[in-house]
Amino acid sequence: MPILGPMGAKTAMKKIMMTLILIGIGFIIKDRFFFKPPINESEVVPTQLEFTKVDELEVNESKMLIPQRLEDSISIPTEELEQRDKKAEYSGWDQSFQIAFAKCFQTEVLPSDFSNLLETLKPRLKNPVLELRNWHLNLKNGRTKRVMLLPREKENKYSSKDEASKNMIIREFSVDNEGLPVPEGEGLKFTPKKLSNILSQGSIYFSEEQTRYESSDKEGVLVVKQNGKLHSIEWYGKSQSFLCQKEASCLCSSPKFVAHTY
Amino acid sequence: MKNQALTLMCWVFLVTILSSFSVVNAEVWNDTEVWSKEKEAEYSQWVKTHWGKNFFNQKNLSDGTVNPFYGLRVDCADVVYTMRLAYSYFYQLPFAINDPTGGSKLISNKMSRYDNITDQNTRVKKFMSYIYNVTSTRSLPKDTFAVEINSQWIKPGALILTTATNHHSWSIKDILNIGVPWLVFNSTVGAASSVVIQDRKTWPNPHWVFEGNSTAAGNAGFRYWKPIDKLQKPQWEQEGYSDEQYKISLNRWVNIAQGRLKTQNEKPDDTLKRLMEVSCEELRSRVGAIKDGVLYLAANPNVCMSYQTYDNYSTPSRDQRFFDSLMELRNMYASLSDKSLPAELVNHLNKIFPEIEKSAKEESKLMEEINNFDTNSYCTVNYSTSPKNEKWIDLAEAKRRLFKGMMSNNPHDYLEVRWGEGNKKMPSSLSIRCQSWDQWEPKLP
Repeated sequence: MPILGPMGAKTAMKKIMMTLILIGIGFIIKDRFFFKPPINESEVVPTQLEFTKVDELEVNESKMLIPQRLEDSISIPTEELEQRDKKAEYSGWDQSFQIAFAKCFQTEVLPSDFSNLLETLKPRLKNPVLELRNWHLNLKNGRTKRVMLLPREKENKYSSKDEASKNMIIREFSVDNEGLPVPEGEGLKFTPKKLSNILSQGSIYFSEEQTRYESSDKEGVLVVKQNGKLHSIEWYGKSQSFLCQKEASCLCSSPKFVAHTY
Repeated sequence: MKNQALTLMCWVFLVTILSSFSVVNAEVWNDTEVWSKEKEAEYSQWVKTHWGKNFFNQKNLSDGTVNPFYGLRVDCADVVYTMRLAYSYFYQLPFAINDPTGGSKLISNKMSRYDNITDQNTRVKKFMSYIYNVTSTRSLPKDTFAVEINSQWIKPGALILTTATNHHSWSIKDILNIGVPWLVFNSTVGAASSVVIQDRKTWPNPHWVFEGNSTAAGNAGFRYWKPIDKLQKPQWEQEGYSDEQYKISLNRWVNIAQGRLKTQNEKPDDTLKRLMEVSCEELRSRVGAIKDGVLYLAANPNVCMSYQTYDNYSTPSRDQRFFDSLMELRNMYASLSDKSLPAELVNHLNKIFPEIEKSAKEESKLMEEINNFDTNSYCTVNYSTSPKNEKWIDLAEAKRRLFKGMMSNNPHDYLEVRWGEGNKKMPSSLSIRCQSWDQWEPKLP
């Protein structure tokens, strides 16, 4: 093999330098242009679909810890969304919630469908406490964003619900190409204006709300709504529990507790 | 020449792009095993033998390999999630949780966000930090379910969760033969201050665990991990689900749980020693907590604390737990009609509870300041922040001051007031002037 002369060595060095530079440029181009997280198809909903105004969603909204003003930016759903939801309610698990409801609440007055379940139970629900709220937004730049509202976890307990409500935080998340949240910062102290500004950055296509209630008989109730409609309800009564999740299962259970002596 | 350069550029570009594609969609770790009843049993055994308060303080694991979780600072929910994730990683099992932001996909080891990190341990650490960032005690109910009170479900690897009021959780390292849980945990402030977390071999106060909601809707109590294939199913569809623990009166909750979990009876003197150790640990950890607050105050003189800063350095919950531990000790000692206990133990206890025949309230009125530390003193600690001016206190004197309401949990107070020195509680001018929150006073029976 011929040994490279001075001129050949210089040329080879130049080629190596050029190669290394091109590799570096290649990585930069890859990261910047080829793997920008695209919109996750499963999260995208046509822009004309938005969710219901809060005064149609919430039970006792005025008693909730979140001021109503922030919901003014949210629009009314289209007929298409309502029809799609109605089909979903009845596919797969039929009227099982009515059977479980009748058994647990010992009544013949049954809600007409799962969505009306909460309306039927509304008079018995007291002292709502917000556990968590989530919103998913389509941003104007084509990306998606998620917003979470929850009480800040602190060293000591909250001495009152009022104190808890004053110490909510807003967490913001972008969404990666796998549809998973990417935290943006540690969170902001909640104010209605801040939340409203954040939610107005895009159009909301999904919302979730978890609320805990105390029934008039001091029983514990946990309600989850999605897009303003009932998703699940857990009603833990003194002698029976009414447990229902949309498109999963609905039952009226009567657990027996046997005290063991020792 | 130019053509050659151009050709070279094209090849390099192509190779770069293709090599990038080859590492896309890599997992955080490759799970080659699947969860089964046998794997759950092995997980339980691992927690019992390898999990503990020094887990994040160990640079290397017991087999000599590098501990990827070394140095992580964790709060209470982080501790619980780490316990499950760490085992899953070490034994090539899948790990997944529900997305707390309401997304339909699970967050799991299969995510590829960290595929550009070549070092496996660094990748796992990043993933763990991400889990800490998105989870909290609020997300635990969706990833776990309430269980029956028996040794099949309440075992190493399970957890205890409080209601949202106290938003706390403990991982269960072990269930002692006497039916008492060995808990490993941390707190919000603890996460910032140290990598060594905390443990205790005693029951948390069930009134504190279920505070605000003793029904199943509060999601408090004993819980276990949902299987990954059922993560998105409601808790009542999980095998082993039960809401029986919510049917038990809180005054009987510990007795019933312990009765079901124990395999042998604990001797009275062993119980007393265990409870004394717990109270001592509470006293020792208070020293560190108060010290942090006092140092902050010294660095920020005459400044009213914000709500968050106040929360970090105040100690109402801590003082409540310290009080609970002393009351549990007192009640146990008082309940022993046949006090045929070792003399040394009796001497310690009589110094702490000199009027055990009376109520706690009456005893508290009668107790005088203890200045002497002798062989009857138990758990003597120095709570001073200055090495030149030591301030010693034993458990008896700490108990006296706490029960009399002399110890302040207000972080605007100076060291002496935080520890209740003197005959009368004298709040500092700052604590009088500044807003305070979450004040706690002992309620003596």
